[in-house]
Amino acid sequence: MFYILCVMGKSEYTDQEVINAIRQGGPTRQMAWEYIFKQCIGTSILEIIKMGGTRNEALECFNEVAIPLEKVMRKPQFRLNSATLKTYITKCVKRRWLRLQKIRSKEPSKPSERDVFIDDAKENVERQIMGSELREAVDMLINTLGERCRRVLRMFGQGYSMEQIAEAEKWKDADKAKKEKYECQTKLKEYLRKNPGIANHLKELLYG
Amino acid sequence: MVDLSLHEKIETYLLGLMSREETAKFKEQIKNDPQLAEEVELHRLILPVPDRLAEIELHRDFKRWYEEIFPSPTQRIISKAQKRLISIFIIMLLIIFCVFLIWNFMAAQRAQQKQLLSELEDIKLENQGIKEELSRIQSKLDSVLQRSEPENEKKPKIPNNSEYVKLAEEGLMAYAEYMVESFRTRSVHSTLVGEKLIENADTAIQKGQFREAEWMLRSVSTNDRWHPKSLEILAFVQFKLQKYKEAIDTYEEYRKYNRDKDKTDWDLCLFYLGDFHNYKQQVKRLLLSIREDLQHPKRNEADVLYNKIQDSIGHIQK
Repeated sequence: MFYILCVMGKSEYTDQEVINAIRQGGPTRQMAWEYIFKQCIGTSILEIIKMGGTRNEALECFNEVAIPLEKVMRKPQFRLNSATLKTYITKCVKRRWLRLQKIRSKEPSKPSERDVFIDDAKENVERQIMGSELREAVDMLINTLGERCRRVLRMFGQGYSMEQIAEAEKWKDADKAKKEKYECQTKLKEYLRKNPGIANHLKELLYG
Repeated sequence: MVDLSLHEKIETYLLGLMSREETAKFKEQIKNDPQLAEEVELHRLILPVPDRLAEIELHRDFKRWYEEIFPSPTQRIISKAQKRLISIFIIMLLIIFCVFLIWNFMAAQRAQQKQLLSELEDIKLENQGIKEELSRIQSKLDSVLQRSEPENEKKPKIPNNSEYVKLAEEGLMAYAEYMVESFRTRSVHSTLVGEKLIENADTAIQKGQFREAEWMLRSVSTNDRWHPKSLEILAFVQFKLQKYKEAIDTYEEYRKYNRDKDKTDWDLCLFYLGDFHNYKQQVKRLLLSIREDLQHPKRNEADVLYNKIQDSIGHIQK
């Protein structure tokens, strides 16, 4: 529906339409993210600048909260009861920025806001954010993959169905896509078996 | 390595998509199977990979959309300035190209004009030189004509020389025809002054205008390469004007340029014959030398002449 509305050129969508589009995955998800970004980035930047931050810091925080935000939105129990999606996203960005200031030992120019726990959301987005060390370790794993595996797994991460992946790669059916995904993930597991040190490091980063 | 179905089951379990009962059952399985436990653990470690790949792609999209919303001031300025610069640059190139074409065309025109002007100047100079020479000759001729008529009236013909003159003329006419004919048969149209004068003198000789011819031939400069030729013809012309002594002097002058003694001895002999009474000794000497020379080309003519005048020569004391 969201896809059709985008194609028809509708410019305003309800929060539920956007969330549904994210959950749908694939190209619809892409359009939904473009809408979210263009709606929310201005406000997020303003809020960060008000607190003494910069435009780049606002963008960095937005980058970091995007995928965890998507994971939270995908859960069936996710609901926005009183706040709008825009408000929710902006607050996530602000919270992330505050956390980063604490990590970098910088004092913000204005008194820090208390951590806002949005009653509407049962999950804390902050918890889902991938740390930089974990990101580096995962990037190292990604470097062992070929271009096709990266495409398949990326589409899987973006919420594409097997049928959508098969269509994108011009394969005959979804079984082929499943098989490719399985083989790519098996390669990664084999790599970790052969490199137990990397596996242990990943374990530490994931579980602490 | 596990099969596809188990692989998917592990993923479903790790993503929390199993029902409660299924989850409990699978947990029990993992507990009892260390290999399965290891496989589950490895799968757990690779779970962040698709999310990270999606994150990288999303960040690229965010950057692109950000630049769409907030193009950098320099980008905005550059894009307008770029268009302006490119159009100015193209216009300047066109102007330079046009100027270059026009300059080349005009340079070619100027070069052509210069060449034509220099050729014109050369022709003018040439014509002027010829005109001056002709006017000088004309004025000399006029003055001589005015002077020479009375002289001609004063100088009487020498009747006793007339027979020798006839003999000389017979020999000289053939020579004169050859001398002038060889000049006439040149294919090159004369452009030099001396050559031009000789050409005009030849025209005058054909018309019988020997006085005019004499002054033209006298006008040929001693530095001109046609000077020897002019002397040769002048001697003949002077002979025709009955200026025998002058003809002899002229031909003796000519002999300095011509090394062909066989030819010039005979010709000179004929010229001497014109003034026989004054040049008897010279006539005799030359005739005898020619006759003694068995290889001389004019030996027969010398014999004939000698026979005709031997009485007169015989009377000369040796």
